[in-house]
Amino acid sequence: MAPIRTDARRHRRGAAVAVSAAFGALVALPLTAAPAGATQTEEHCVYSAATGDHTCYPTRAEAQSRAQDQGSDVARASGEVIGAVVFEDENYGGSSLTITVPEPCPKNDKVDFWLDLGDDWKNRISSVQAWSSCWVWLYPGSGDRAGPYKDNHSTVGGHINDRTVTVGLS
Amino acid sequence: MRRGTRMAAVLTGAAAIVGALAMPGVASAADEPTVRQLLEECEQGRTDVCEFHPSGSPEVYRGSYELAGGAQNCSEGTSTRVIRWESSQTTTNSVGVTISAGVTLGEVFEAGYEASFSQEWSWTTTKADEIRHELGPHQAVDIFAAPMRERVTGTYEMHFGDPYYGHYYWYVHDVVVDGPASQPAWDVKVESTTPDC
Repeated sequence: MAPIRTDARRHRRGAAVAVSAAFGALVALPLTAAPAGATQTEEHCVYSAATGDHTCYPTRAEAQSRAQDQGSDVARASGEVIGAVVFEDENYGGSSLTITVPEPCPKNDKVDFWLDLGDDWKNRISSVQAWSSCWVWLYPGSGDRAGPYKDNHSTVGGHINDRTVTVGLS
Repeated sequence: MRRGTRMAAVLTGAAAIVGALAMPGVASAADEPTVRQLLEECEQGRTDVCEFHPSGSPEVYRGSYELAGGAQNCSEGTSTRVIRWESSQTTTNSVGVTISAGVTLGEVFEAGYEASFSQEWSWTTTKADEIRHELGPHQAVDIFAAPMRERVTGTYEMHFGDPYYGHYYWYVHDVVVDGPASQPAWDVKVESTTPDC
């Protein structure tokens, strides 16, 4: 599997965002500008590493519900699975970002999926969950890295807490 | 928790998701398993991977008060009684299958919970204590006890070596497991009732 690098821009529902999707394709999402000065609220996003699709919902339950609807269809078409979920707060609290991948991580001693976080997600991750066979790596801006996180981790550790700018899955 | 062997080869199968809100045991579509069917596959060890991922922090709340004991004074004078009471709490779930200690689904949940929160899940708890209460003539009291409880909502993730209903990967969302808090603080209240003298 060729490594891919994506640039997911987290956005409010309907916010104006363009996503640099997997394999270099550029995908533009529907645009509606958020009101200036709008309060930053909790939201739960699903990001596809394969297609670059990035959709956010106000509640995790709604995100899961929508993911079910999408999941069945998308899954039958492309076989996406959940590779990881990262959270804004400790103990899997606050906003969340679910990262789906085309297939379980192949365990080939490589980081197979990269996700460069948009400004809204940079320096915010505090807990992570590794799904499927994937391990999660967290990269701060310094070029160092933390991980692998191989399971559910209610805290990522003080050395990387709120410092992640890139997520890798291996 | 990782159960069973991981797939050595990358599979090109599809994934699907089943909401746990579906009626357990009732097929919603011919080409889709029920929540009960999926969890039974995990229970029987027919999955390559079966894991539990919480979707948030455990919610700790005060459980309901349950009758735990009582006493009555049928004499004509006041009496101070030492009233012993006992109450037990167990773990329940939202999907109508057995998720308890000693079964696979329970072990999967327990492993996921403990890995996630670095503390053990308490499947059951029993509290016995006694209180001193002064009863007037022809008075009776019931004792109600309520522990702290804890509920966790999460997803069972399952991988199959061969397609199951056409998919290698299935998720059962919104499974709620509800049990006694790991360090329950019991609250006790005494209520007057009608004596049966």
